Amino acid sequence: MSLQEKYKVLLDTAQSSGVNDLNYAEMDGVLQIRGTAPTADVKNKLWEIYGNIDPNFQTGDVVLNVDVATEVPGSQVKVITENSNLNIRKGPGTDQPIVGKAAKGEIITLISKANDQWWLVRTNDNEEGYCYAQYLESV
Amino acid sequence: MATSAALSFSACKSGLSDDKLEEKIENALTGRKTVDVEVEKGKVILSGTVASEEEKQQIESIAKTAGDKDVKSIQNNIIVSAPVATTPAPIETSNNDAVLGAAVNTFMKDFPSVQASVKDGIISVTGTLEQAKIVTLKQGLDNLNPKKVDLSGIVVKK
Repeated sequence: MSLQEKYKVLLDTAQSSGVNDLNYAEMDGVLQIRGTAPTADVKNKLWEIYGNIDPNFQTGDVVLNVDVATEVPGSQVKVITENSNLNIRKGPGTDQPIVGKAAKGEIITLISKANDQWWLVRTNDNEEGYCYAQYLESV
Repeated sequence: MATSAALSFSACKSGLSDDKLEEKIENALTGRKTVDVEVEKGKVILSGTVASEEEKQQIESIAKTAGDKDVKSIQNNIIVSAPVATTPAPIETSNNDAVLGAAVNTFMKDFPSVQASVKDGIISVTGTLEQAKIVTLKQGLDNLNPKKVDLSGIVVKK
């Protein structure tokens, strides 16, 4: 069974739920998937389906890198850390000094994206700095 | 190819169940990943998306030929949608272990119970991790566009 067959439900769902610029290819035995999901919900749904097909992602035959379209500069994003506060840093990197914190569940403003990992944000207390994009989700 | 094969094995049989008929048509349409087939009491319903009207008609005729006498009618709901880009840009994966390794190290600071290494664009992770955190780990590593993320060395805690 090809990887595209194995992950058919995942690819079909990406297509049917409006993932933009959906692009996938099997490369070196790994199904690489790229695209832009219309909402964070769609992205989460895709990850849920992926996790159902390959529990705990143990097989490692997919790399799923899907952005969320609504996470654009100027938009509101929610802090989705597990329980701790999210560090806001002076620059994009964990070696940078912490200039502020955002609480779990707090809604803050996305100013710009330095790269895929580090986004410049502003909190409601007007603290501005970079934080790790993984812990932000569009609202 | 598919047409002649379908003809030869459908010539002398009739009264196939919907499931068998569906299977037969799907076999004839192997490789057409964007098209879906459903059969209800001999009525064949085609859905999905193709790039041209010709292809839409071609699929209908393949389905008709494959199903032969068992097909009562065909409802062709296939949508014709011109491809947006002629060829999508090739997918890029990381080919610089130093850059990828640095990004992985930064990200892994949030996961002190596991260790990651990078070789030839492949990220391998070992250690022990709670199940709830695995998806966060995998999402973060996939965002770095590696060639592969190998989590088989992780012991999953419930």
